Amino acid sequence: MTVLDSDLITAVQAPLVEDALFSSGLWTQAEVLGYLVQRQNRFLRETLCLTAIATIPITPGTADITLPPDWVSTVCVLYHDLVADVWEPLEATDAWEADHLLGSQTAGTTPIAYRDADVTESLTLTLFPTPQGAGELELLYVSLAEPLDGTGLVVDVPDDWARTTLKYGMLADMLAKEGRGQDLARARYCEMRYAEGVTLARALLEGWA
Amino acid sequence: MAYAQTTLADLRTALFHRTDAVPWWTVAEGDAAINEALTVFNLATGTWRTQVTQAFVPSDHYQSLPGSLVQPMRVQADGVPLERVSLTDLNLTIPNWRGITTATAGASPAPDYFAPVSLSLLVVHPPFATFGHTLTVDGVSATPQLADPAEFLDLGAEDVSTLLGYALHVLAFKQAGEMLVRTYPGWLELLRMAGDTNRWFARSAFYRRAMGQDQTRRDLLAEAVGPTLLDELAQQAKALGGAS
Repeated sequence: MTVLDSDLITAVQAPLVEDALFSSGLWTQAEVLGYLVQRQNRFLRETLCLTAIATIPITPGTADITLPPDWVSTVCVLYHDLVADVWEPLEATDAWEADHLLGSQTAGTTPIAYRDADVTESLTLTLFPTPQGAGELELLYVSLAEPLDGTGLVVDVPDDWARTTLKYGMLADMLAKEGRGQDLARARYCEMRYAEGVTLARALLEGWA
Repeated sequence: MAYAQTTLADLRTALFHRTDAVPWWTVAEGDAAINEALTVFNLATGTWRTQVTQAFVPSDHYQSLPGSLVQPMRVQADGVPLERVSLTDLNLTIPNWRGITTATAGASPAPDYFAPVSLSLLVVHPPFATFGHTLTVDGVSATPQLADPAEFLDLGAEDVSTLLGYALHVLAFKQAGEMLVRTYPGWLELLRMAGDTNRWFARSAFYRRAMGQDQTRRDLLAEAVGPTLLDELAQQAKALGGAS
């Protein structure tokens, strides 16, 4: 990934007949940077195109696991029983199923399912049944992107989508604002172009048909 | 006709013919529009492909891919092609797959499967347990961006018209309103070509709605059908006067 945040801020200037300092007053640089950061994280959440891996140690007898602070959504969870050296994939479940179907917990059990934060506090993943032995979780998840400040930091989105999809996402937000810069027709068009980019990203992850 | 290379200079000239070379757009804006056309074209059709060979990280199921590769399509380990599966396939059909390498008793002596996890990460099973092996990945490459007028791409002459139509549409965004709407055919042609090449994209809700193919519209009588999404955008542009 080589596209910089400053590149994208520059890219939205020409289509809106703005100069480098947004002198018209319709938008500010900080505002445009905010739209970029929001769209970057939204794109990662919607496409699952970039994933991170975290290894989380488990305390025996503890069902609630703290998720990484940059967690957005879970892709896959694997439980590693350190005693038996066996890896088990965990199924996603919910509070109702966990309460009614998974039965009571006994010593020596290993988890077979997890749920993330539907009834407990945010950034918490709960295992069912509660693991009783030494183990660790391997978590594949979509993470938040690194914060951007407009000084030339690399955007955490593949270049092809950064140059097109993120640009249209920023334009959609800039033109949809309640203010003098509003242009709802072009905003809706840009939102369509953003949706096109998200669809293409999902298509590439699926493979050609 | 003999093979001819289409350079950035050629594309610039052809694009500005379509704008009557009015000074409303700069050369830099024209180049940006051409490069955007190439990018969307590549994402939609996978035209530019590459092969990347890298050292296999031993005993690690997760193999990272370089940023020059957008989508892995074919993977080989030491020259032997692997079968494409998914993480779900591995989870449901191979017990303890995450704990198995080629050094595990009873395991395959070489990788058999690969599963894309994201655009930059592959799972290979079982991974080699030792150094000295290679992973070769064929796939869609990141779109080359033209900067020098003499630079050229491997591009069929039959695709140039579609690309220029889309690039004109990108330029028209600056004028907004009716000008943007009148260049929609350039964008739709690119989408149509993408749908012809990529059946997954052609089945997507976005594509069907943009091309007016959604089921609801087909089932209703023609006179009872509301405007397409693009008709709605055109009407909005007229009502708002087009200017920002």
